[in-house]
Amino acid sequence: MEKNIIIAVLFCIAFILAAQDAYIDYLEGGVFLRDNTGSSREAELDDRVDAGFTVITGEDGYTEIYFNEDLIKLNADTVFQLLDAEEAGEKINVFSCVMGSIYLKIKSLSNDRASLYINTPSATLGVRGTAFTVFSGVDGTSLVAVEQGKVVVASEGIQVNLEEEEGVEIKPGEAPGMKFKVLRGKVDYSKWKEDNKSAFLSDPLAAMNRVEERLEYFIKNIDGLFLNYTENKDKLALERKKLAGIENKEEKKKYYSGEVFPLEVKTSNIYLNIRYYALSALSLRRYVLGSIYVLMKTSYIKKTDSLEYNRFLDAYNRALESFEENIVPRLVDADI
Amino acid sequence: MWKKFLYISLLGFFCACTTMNLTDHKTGAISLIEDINKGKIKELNACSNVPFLFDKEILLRKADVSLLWENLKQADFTIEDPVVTAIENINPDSYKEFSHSMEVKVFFNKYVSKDCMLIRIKSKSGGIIFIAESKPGEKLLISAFTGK
Repeated sequence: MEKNIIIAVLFCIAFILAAQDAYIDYLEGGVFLRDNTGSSREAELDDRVDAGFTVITGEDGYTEIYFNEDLIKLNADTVFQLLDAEEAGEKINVFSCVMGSIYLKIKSLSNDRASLYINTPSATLGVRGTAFTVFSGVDGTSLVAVEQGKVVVASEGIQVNLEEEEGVEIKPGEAPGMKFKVLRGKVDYSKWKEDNKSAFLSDPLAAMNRVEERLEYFIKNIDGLFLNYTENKDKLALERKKLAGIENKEEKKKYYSGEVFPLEVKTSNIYLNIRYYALSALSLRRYVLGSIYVLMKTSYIKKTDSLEYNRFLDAYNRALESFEENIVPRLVDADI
Repeated sequence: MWKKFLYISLLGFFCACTTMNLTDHKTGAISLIEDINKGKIKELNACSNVPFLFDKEILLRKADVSLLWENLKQADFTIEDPVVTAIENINPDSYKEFSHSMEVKVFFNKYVSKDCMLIRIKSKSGGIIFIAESKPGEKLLISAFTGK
């Protein structure tokens, strides 16, 4: 998260979307809305998309979501989430393209504002007034193609600046690849998806190891934040105890606004970020790890003695153990 | 005297219902296996609940469940000589047949209907477990599937 804060400083203040309305403006085919209690239903026109919600398009699905002036188009077979996070003391929304492809046209950012954050299983994107497409493959690999404006793609501490008609591919747990030229409308997502799947099947262990690394990145951030959270929570408890001991109303009010309230905000913001990383890890586990397991299990269903399959299984089970130990304590039943 | 007769009749009726229900599950399971063996993707999709549990994986999208059945068909996966060995009520520990994880436990609490049964099958390909519910006149509706 500290790295993301640096990115935010370099590319201006995070754009606050919490006050804005997000709603479904158009849909066709199978489009489903999963809310933050885990309930799922078919989406309808004008449905609100709140933080914690997931929008899933089926094989024949397509939908357009508006955040005031900003447009997000979800193509078929896509999983899109809206998450909450905190940066520089402000609550921000993060768009997450977990799987599939989304096209974004961001109009609302002015000169004194900047970054909008987009999350994929392998990278974080900082954008400013732009139109671009994000693809997320079966193994968590992402492809970003910029039509207009600028996008900064960050992963593993390395940033790549993309200008108009430039693209980059990012594998989970790795720095962004080399930039390449992308002519408008010329990225064939179906072909990229098939190539991505073939690449995964040709070396599933490498792909699994990359997913494990990305999971470790989320766990590392959560661990750091949790330490901070515990310290602040203890401080808050102490301050609340002191507050309870103050009898004078005016003094009590002053003490609350000066000492207790800022701590309450700080503590809840830290917790918000813990939840952000935990939910990001859950998305990786659910959609990416789930997909690659199904692919591998069914591909090797008659070859379960295969060395390659068993090496993959070892890494897979290791990732699940780590997830259960480190991420699950930060989740609630409603997340599942 | 007539009360005894009434009670015995009622008891017989409920036993018959239970037996019929188990029979429905047994017949439904064999029919489901036939669909898997013949690669009847459309039929399998129609009788698969979403979310769906496959081994330790919760599949949230219809597309993922469809891919599961399609891939199994592509791999020529068949369940040979299936025999239903048990049909059990779902209990608080049933989730452990799939995984001891929190996610699978929550899946059972949240998504597995009270009408579901745990169906154990023995076959040449190994043991299979379905979690499924049977409704009169309808195909088995499956919520989970794993090999043992």
